[in-house]
Amino acid sequence: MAATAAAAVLSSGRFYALIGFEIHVKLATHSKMFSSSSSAPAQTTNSQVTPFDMALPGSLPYFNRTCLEAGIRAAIGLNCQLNKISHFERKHYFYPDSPAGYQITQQRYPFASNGVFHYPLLIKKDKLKSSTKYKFVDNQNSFVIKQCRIERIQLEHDTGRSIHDDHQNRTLIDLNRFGTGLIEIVTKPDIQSSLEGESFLRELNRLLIKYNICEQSGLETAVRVDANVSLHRMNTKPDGNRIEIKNLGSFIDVRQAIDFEIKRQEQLLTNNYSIKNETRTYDTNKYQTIHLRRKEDQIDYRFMIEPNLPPLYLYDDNDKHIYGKNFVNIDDIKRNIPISPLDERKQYLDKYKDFLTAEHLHELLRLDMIDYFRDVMTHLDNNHLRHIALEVLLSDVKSISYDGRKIRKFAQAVSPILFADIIKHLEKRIITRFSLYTLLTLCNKSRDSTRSLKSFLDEHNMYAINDENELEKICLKILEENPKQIDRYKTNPKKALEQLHTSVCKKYHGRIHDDLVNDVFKRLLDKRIK
Amino acid sequence: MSLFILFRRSFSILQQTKEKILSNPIKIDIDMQNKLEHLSLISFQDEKTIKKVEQTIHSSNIIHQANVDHLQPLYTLVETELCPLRQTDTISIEKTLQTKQVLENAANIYEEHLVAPMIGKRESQTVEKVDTTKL
Repeated sequence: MAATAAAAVLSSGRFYALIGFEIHVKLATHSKMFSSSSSAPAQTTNSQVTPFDMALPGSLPYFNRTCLEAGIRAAIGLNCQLNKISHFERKHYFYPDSPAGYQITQQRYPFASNGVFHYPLLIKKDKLKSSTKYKFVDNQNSFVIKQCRIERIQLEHDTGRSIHDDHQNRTLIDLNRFGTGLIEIVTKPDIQSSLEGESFLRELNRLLIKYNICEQSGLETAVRVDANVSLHRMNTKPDGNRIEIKNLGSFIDVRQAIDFEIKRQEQLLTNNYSIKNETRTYDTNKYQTIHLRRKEDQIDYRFMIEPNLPPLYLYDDNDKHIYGKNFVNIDDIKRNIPISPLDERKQYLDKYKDFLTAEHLHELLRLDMIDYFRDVMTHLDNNHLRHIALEVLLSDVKSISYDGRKIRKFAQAVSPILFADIIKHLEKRIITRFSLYTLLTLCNKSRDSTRSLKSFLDEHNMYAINDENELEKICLKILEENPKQIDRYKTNPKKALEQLHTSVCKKYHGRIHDDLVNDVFKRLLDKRIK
Repeated sequence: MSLFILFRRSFSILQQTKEKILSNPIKIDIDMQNKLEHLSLISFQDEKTIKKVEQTIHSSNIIHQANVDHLQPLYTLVETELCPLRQTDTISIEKTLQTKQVLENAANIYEEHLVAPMIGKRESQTVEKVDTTKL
């Protein structure tokens, strides 16, 4: 496994890795960056195109303010310095899905630079074995926090979509996507392993969605990642050479590509080959990176300032005497920005310190349950109930929905209000702990979040049996059906009670509380023995 | 009289510059030829064309003799303007072309896609492959 091999390379003490990212984020806007056609995905081919998108003569770019505001929110979230004056540039290359022959970007004069992003280390279940040396929680109330410097954030637009038809030797072009607003986030090479890389991207993904910068689906569709990976011998300085891995579209691809590349470079260095600048891509079928082009084949993009767009000015409260309402005030955006995911988690640890630890929060983060947890907490009015809810989330719900996609579906089927109602019923002993997993599974499968809890309980007869007389009748009946357990109780009471408990649960579908039924069995069996 | 002296001096500087350039001829090697062809999408087919390109570069090199130390480049005629912002993020149906308008000047189309000759994958592009013979 590449993951284990890469972890072994890094923990050997002979090498260290430097990893940086270039992340392209599709902005959540209705219209495109420089034209007013729709930026909605998956529409009829070539139906969202303006003359500018086709580079027709005479058409000019007209910059979308909403794209700028989304970019500024990203810059604030990544603690970047906002450059009050920035320029758009043309990046020239010929390709059929780019009708103008250039892309408008901000390579040399970005609107934001010199930031730093803090993120907690996270781990997915399958990485547990190879990552046991990592420490995730600093103490009871805090995570291990890593940081990665942000070199720059630049505004640019997307290109059209190309479909290669090898048999007919042609390329089919759809310009719907051309001109959609993007930001490119370029980091410094501060990441040192695939685990840190994945943790960084997951936290960044959380920030982008929370600040309404990109669409809800995040890395899977709205974000593309290029990773720059280089491995160096310990106690040597980096020589600047690195491998660029293009177009990684999922967290798993990022992790696997980095692990493969670390192992590959280790083999080269061990055999006294040097690492030369190269561009590679990741093959998701073969789980390896493959060569695209060498440094000598690098494209000369002939950057030049975009002559059709004047310089972009940003303002703040100090410039009130200069700007009008038509311009963007950075301080206005800062005042309205929500709390960062990291600060929000610190708040939870403080607010729920009676029962919530950093370990719990780390587990909720790992399982992508943090938003569901937050919503459930708001519907429960005391810490006792909240504690029960947390325990159920990290046991029963975790078993039902063990990854991000499943938890999102669970959250739609079992609304936070319904879940809170279930917890209140549990606390009042209207339902048993034992029946909870079955109840949650039934609610999840029904996919009807408007249905009341009462309707589920009535339909499947899941109310707990609390009446003592009825309990005694049930226990007597079970004892008659299991005479061997009565004899067994004399020699091994614990085992006998377990067997009787199992029988009663099977027969009555978990409607009986553990503590009550054990007490009744003990009383009846002691009476019989005497 | 002073105008005449100025003219003679300018002409003399020009002559000197031309001589300087002629003594350093431009030569396009095979790597540079490949790079220029790739960037311009123009094939330089024969020696005669390459020679013409060399001469053009040669003549244009005179521009490097200008002293621009005290100047800033004029990137755009509107550099003193502020970048205008489209204030509302609304979709304009009037400005969006209909599909038939997008395709009307295309020589080849296929199922409402524009058709371009295959020139190879671009590494930064998410590319889909489809065999349209089986559609």
